Amino acid sequence: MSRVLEVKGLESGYGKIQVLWGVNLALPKGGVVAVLGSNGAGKTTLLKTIMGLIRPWKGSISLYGKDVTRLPAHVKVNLGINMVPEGRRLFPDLTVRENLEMGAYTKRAAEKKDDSLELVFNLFPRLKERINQRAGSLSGGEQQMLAVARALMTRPSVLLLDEPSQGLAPKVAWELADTVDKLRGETGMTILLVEQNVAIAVEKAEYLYVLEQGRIILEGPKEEVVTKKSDVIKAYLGL
Amino acid sequence: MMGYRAFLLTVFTLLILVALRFITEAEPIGFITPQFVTFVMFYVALGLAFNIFIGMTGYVDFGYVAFMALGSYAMASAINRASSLSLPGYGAIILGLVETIVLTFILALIVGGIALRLRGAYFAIATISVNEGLRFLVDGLDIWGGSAGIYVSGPLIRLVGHEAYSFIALIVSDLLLYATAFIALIITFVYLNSRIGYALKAIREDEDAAKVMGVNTTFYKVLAFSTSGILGGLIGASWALKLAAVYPPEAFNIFYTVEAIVIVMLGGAGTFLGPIVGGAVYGGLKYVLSGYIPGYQLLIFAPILIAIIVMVPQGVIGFLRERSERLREFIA
Repeated sequence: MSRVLEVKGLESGYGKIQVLWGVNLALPKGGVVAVLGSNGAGKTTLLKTIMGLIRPWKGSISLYGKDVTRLPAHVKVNLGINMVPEGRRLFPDLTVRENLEMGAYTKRAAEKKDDSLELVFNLFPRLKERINQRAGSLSGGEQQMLAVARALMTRPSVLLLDEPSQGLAPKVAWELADTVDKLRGETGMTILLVEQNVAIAVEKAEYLYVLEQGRIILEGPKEEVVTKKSDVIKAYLGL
Repeated sequence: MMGYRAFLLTVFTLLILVALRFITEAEPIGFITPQFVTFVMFYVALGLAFNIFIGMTGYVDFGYVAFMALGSYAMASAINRASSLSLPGYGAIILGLVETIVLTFILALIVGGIALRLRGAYFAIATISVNEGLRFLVDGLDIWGGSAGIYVSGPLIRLVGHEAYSFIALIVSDLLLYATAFIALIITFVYLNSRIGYALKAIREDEDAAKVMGVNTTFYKVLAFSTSGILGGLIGASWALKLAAVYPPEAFNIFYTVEAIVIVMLGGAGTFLGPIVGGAVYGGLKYVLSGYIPGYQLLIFAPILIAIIVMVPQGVIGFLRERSERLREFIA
């Protein structure tokens, strides 16, 4: 399978503190890959570095074979990669509609705005009902839907999801997780899912990486990783 | 169009102020004289210009007065150089305005390019040092007359004669100030109704989220910063025409920055009418108080600030906007 996103020997961190120590990762086209790990393992840092919100110290990131290591986030968005940030990060004082329009900010996305809105409302009919409501007044689940929807408005072909289940009731978390299947089915999107909810990650992804203290300590197709049930898996994933 | 009613209302209010300036020329209405109106207009213009940056991005620039100082200096030095360049009086003023725009733009690019990588309080602290640093640079390196400053009124009188001077110091200076206020207002409206406004709003609400929407945040921050800075320079340049001299402790007085912050906070950051309400209330109070109890006008600061924070944290206009949906479209 052709690789859409390839990360090699990635190192990055904040100030003098190094978080990632040589991470290798690859996303096959149309695949769903999950990164698992405990608090502070570097999952969010990994996504932010891939997205360009944090500058990588070393290593390379390539998107569709093109080197994008040093590109800032707003340029990467135009190349068809986007992230749903941890904790949703909506524009709380703007309405649902305004948040979505903000997603169609780039020229590339603005051209497909109507089409994107249709796609998004198809996925999340609830957002259509709430279209003129302030984003800050939505429920947690709706806010997460809006965060995903807003990212979709930028028309990514690669989507990075940072802990979409965070702070949601289990039932709502699973509802959202099901959109991963829909996205794949309807748009053929490639998805990198970062989760603490292991059950969701294992259910939805076909390839797993386990990140610990900034290093990938285990990777493989889901069945392999899960059936191994090594000590590491037991300790970190509770399987 | 976003906020066009509020925009028209604000334009109308500004026009009333301008009319008041010229009506009271013949006969003052109570304590309202042309000087009073211009004094208020100075603060209104300051609020409008400052609001473009603070109101739209949420960043607080404590070094704002540096732009005004640069404008005052550019104007003063252009007037002083006019006779050697054999420029007529108005040529010198135009040169002063052009130099103001160029210098403040360069300052904005340098400061903005570096300091706007910082966020929140770090940005505010960095900008204070820009203002103080620039002040001591002028002082220490004897640039623009160093600590002694540059004379304005003397050279201007020599250049254009007494009669033309009083016309420039009173009328031309006022008109330039009023024009700056209008330009600031129009730019606010244009920004708000374009992609720029969307980008700035997103930055104000959540900068990282704005980045992943594809917004080049640094570019838009520098854009708002330099627009606001250039307008601040123009206010300084217009005001310099009224002064006897421009010198560092007055030109770089951080007090003006604090006043600008108070005005914007009082009226409501990010609104059209806010800077007008804030500027009029603050400037009016200051003028009247300094007339009746000189020296004590400084005392109005703390109570005003405390009252804003306790009673109307979003400013007067922000408060009214939240109170009434119907008012919202008129004043937002």
